Amino acid sequence: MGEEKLINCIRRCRFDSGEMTQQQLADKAGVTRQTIIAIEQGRYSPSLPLAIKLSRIFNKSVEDIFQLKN
Amino acid sequence: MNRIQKISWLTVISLGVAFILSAIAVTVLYFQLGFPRAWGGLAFLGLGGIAGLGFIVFKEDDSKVKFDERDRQINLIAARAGFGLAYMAFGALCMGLWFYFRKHGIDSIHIDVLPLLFAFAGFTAFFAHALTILILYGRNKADGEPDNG
Repeated sequence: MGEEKLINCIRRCRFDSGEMTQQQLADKAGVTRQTIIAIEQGRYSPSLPLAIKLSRIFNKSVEDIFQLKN
Repeated sequence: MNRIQKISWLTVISLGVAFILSAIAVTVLYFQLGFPRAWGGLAFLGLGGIAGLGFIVFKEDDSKVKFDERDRQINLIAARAGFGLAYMAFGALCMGLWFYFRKHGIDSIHIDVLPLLFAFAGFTAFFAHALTILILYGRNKADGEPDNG
């Protein structure tokens, strides 16, 4: 079985939400901007509560934002 | 770079410099005066105390969120790495001393060696903790990228 990687479309979602900045998203989600950068680049997989928070901010489901890729 | 990274840099640099200077001093004094006077070179380890000033020197960030789940995770991994390496360093040093004393037929160990063992383990724990933090944060090279970059 190949290694699965968590990918996301947060960057696109931010632009679709009135070009929201990383800092604005970080403030809304209650994390640091560094964490948002790390998530966008796939270097950090957020916890389930944070993933749900992010999906609520963009009015999408968690799976609309995060996908597992082989 | 956040506050934790700055404190970690100070810790790594001050402990690293303290260790290197004391090693050089002990070596130089050993060839000039021999043991036990050469142990006086360990006084340079006191420079490691500068690391403790990090919490005073570096003020808290102005940002709304100062510490989040990723920071917590990095700190947890770093603490484990610090403990693990300190345990291994302590074990290696004990074994090294045991081999040395056995080889030279020495039956007893001087009581002054005990605090040195403790200090060595502590030094390793703090150094490894700070270094692991820098490595784990360093993986994210985008920390300095402009917003929306």
